[in-house]
This record gives sequence, C-alpha cells and structure tokens, in this order.
Amino acid sequence: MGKKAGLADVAAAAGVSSATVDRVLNGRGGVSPDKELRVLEWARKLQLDRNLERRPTRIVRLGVVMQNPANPFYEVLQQTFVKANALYAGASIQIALHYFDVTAPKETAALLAKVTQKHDALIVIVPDHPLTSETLRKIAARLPLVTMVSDLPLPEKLAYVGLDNRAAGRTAGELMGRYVGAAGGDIVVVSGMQSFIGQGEREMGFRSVLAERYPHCRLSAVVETWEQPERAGELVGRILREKSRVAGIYNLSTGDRSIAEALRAYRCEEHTVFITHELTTERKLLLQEGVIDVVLDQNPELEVMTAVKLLARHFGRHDEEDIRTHTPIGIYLRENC
Amino acid sequence: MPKKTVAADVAIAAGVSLATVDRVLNGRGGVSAEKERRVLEWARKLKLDRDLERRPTRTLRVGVLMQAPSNPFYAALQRAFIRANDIYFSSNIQVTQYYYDVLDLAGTAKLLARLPRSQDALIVILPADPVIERALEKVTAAMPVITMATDLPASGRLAYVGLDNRSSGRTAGDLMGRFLGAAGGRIAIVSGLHSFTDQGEREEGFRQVLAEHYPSCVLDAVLETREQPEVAGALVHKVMRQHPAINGIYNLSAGDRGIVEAIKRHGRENDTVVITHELTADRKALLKEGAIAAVIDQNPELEALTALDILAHHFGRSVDKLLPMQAGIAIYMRENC
Repeated sequence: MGKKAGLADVAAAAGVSSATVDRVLNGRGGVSPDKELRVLEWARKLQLDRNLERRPTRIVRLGVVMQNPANPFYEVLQQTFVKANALYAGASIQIALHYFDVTAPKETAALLAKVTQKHDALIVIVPDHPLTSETLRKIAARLPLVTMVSDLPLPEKLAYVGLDNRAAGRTAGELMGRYVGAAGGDIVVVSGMQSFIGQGEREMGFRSVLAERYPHCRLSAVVETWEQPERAGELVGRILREKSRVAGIYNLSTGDRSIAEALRAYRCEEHTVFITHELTTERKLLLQEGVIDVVLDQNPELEVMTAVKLLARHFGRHDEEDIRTHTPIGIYLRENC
Repeated sequence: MPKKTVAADVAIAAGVSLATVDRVLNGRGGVSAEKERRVLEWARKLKLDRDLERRPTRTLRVGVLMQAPSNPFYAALQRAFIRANDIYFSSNIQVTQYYYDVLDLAGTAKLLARLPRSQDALIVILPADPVIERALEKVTAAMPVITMATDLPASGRLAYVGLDNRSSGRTAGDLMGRFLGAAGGRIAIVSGLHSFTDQGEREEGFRQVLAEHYPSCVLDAVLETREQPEVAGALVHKVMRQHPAINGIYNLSAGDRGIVEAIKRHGRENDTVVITHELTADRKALLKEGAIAAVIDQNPELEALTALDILAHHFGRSVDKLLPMQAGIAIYMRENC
C-alpha cells in the first residue's frame, strides 16, 4: 500500500506552492480559477484525505413561521427543522424557527413582517386569516415563500408542500367503501371548521369516491365541531342515539378520543368503521384497541425535508430536478402503526 | 457567575494539547477521529462558546454494496444514495456505490472482502448464502456494517434497516380480512421461493392475523413460482379451477399481471381481492385499473437516509437525536399510489 498523500504531494503534482494548495483546500481565496482547478484535480487523483466539494460562501437564511410546538405534530416539525439545519450547514443554509400564537392573528401578521426582514426565504404554516393573508401576499411578491401542511391561496408563492387533500379524502373514501362492504349504510363526516381549505378538499374527495364506486354508502350527515375536540363526541353521540346503526365515520379534524367514547357508549365500536387523520400517540392507541380502523398520515418529517430541499434548489444549493411537493398519503392500520 | 469556558479547559478535560483543540475547532485537520470526537464531546459538555457544528475534517467513506440497479427497487435505492451523499456532505461523509452480479456469488464475496481497504463503513444488501456470510463476518469484525432490506442477523452487523417482514405480512392479512368482510372467503398465497426468509416471514404474519381476527377467511392453497413470474398466472388459473370459491390472492413475489389475467379468465375480477408487495410502475397501473386492491411497500429513500443516520451517529458526526424512525410499512391503494 502506498504512502498517504499529503499537501506537498498535491503541490508538486499540480506545479504550485504548498501555500496555494492550503489556500484552495481551506477556501481562503486569492487563487486563480485555473490553479484552483489543477489543485482540486490532483487532490482527487492522489486521493487526498479531504472532502473536496466546495462549500458555497454566501449564507442563505430560511425563516420558518409556525405554531408553538405544543402538540405532537408541531413538535415533530420543530425537531425535523433542527435536523435539516444541521444537514444543510454544508450548503451554507441556516434555518431559524419563529412561533406564533394561533389566537392572535394581528401579532402573527406583525411577526411575519418582522421575520421577512432578516431572511432570504420563508416557510409558513399559517391558517387562512384575512389579517395575515394580506401580509403574506406582500411577502410572496418579494421573497420565495413556501406554504406547508395547509395551503394558502397566494398566487405568487413558490410552492405548497403537503398532502394533496382531495386525494387523501378519496383514499379515505376508497377504504370506507371497501371496509363497509356490499351491505353499505349511513356514513357521517365530522369536520372541524368548514372554512379550512384542506378539510373542505378532503370532504369533496371522500364524497366523490363514494358516489363513483360505493353508492350503497350513503353520506347521511356532515357535522361541524368548530375545532373543539369534545364537541365531536357530543355530535356523534346525538346521531348514534337517533340512528340504530351508523356504518362509518370519517373525521377530518380533531376529537377522536371523544368520538371513540361515544362509539363505546352506544356499543358501536365493533361494527362502525372509523377513519381519521394524523398518526399521533393517542390515535395509535385507538388503532391498537380496534376503535379507529384507519389513520391517514401526512409524514411531517418528509414535508420539512421537501420544503427545505425546494428552497435549497431555488438558491442553487441542490440540483435534484424531480421534487414531489405533494407528499405521499400514509395509510396506517392496527398492524403497521 | 462561573468563569467562561475557554479552549484550554477543553484541552485539559479531553486530555489533549491546546494545539489539538485549536486544530479541531478551526477545522485544520491532522487529528485522529477518536481525539476529534473527544474534543467535540468536551467542548459541548463544557458549553464552549463556539459553533461546534462545523464540518469534521476527516472524510468518512461509506461503501454501499448492492445488486446492479436493473429493477425499480434498486434503481430507487441508487438515486436515494446519490441524494444522501449530497445531504451528508456537511458531515463530511462520502458515499460510494458498488454493484454485484446476483448470479456470481463468489465474485460478490471477493468484492465484499476488498471493500474494507477503501471504506470506513459499509451498507450491504446481500442474499443469505454461506460464501457471502463468511466474507461478511470478516468485514463486520473490522468495521461497522449495516444490513438493509434483507437482514443477516448472525453476521455481527451494527444494525438492520428495513421492513419487519412479519408485520408487513400481518398488515396484508389485516387488509385481506377487512376487504373480504364478514362473509369471509377462500384465499391462495403465491410465493416465489419458500426458502427466502423475507417471504417466509410475510406468509407467517399473514396466516397469524387471519387466524386471530378473521376466522371466516380460509387458506386454500400456497403456490410456489420458484421466482419465475411468468408461471404465477398459470398456477393461479389452475388453483381457481380446483377451488372455484377462491376470492382472495396474496402474492409475496412477482407476476401480478399474469395473476390478474388468470382471475379475468375466470370472470372473477370484480369479487377477487389481490394484495401484493413493492410499488412498481406496473403495479401502480394495476392499482389504478382496480385490478389490485393494495400494495405493501417499503420506502427505499427513507431506508438509505436512516442507514446513513445510524452511521453518522456511530462516528459522532451527528449531535441531535436520530430522526424518529417511520413505521416502514407503506400501504398503497388506487387513490394514493
């Protein structure tokens, strides 16, 4: 085995001084492009024990604006952004997180405006509210803006990264139709807030698959919880009291624990097919207990990595052409959750 | 207030010279991997006021040994490792791929034995074979090795990254039971080669779930194609003639197109549930046509990143928590494929 190559060997082979080799390898500048190329070429040929990819010098600052990571979904997002920050350090990309309070849209708008001043691009997970949407429209005109998880109607945004909610609703419809089977029956949709764009799309997708392929599954009620988890159980309980049998429940939003309690109270947990979204620890438990039958999940880790990748590409720090902005729809059952 | 930590404190704590600490912190190289790890560990513990996330100077070489990427699964892995090489640039990890010929096991063993000379760690996707396993045992004694997709648990590998095949068989069984519904049905399993451990485990998991939760689903036949996809259709045709009540097919291997055609020959395409593995372009088309009900899949991109994440941790190149490992079993149906 040959001796390990040193800087001096590279200098000799490339016909430059050791100081020049040192300047190239440590990115200190002041070397002509021609010499730099020669040094890198010989360093590679002689297998110098150094990583020879160049690190871009200008730092790109990405700002993330999202809710406080108080619930498990946002906690995973936060951890993954921290991880992405470490992974993209080599591409000179820095990621900073900024949190807003969901109940204070005015402060959120101010925060968005402030964050914009310090960053080269933004990733936002913000609900559609008139106070923030005007600010966001202005921001999208100035910097690359990526919406995540829930889309916003901003014509100038760079991209939306997340589920194709209509396809997610269709998937729920396909599973509902197959699980309920030939006998068919009454189906109830529980929505959080009809004005949430993503939820509306899910409901539409769900309805169209039932109409196309499972006409014996009849959508008999759509109830709205105003995003209050306890209300979901009350509303479902009221329906179960009136009807002797509900074949399926599709929950678009929150409140699975209270729906599960209602199902148990009316002894419907065995035969009512219950499909919902987001694989949290609590829902895993309900899957394993057999109360929830299917959870559709949007893989927040993948969404973070995709959003960062898109922006890295926008700034010439990543060259993958085919980046899928609609993330895959995960299907979880008792056996794979 | 306690005194602020300086480089000299780190040198004492880590048991190295001040010059070594300086070399590590300023990325000047020439420090052994072990000393570098110690310096960074103590600098973090003592909360030295420096950015410690800089690129380590020594390049870590990770070799990937797998089949030539001629089928879609290996092509996806190849792309995933090229991307991973980009992403792990900041940790100064270089990923190099080596391909072997499945028909030349002796040549594969030779290639495997040669890799430790140029690599610091290996990721391998290798069949269970005595010649290969002997060669692999020597390698695992010398460096960390990760087995992927199919495990060789006795080899002394650092970790296995891939599906739990028993769970994926259980997931297929759960879907079959739900799709066939309360009326139940008669089922045939199509296997490639009984001696493949991953296929054997899937079959076992599938049988277990039917026995536990779906007693009205009865297994009528287990067929073996000897890994010749073109005979799968003929075998299914024959078994459906013998057992006309068969309305569920679980395929552990290849040959789905032929199976679907056999079912059509019997005019049973509308009431026969087909479940299979690995989402290829051909299977996507069959899902869309409604000929296959579900495909169980593994995510090669995620597996590649997970394998590298484990190695980065092993070499102290990653300070944050490992990304939460995704439940690896993905389910694809007509609406989410």
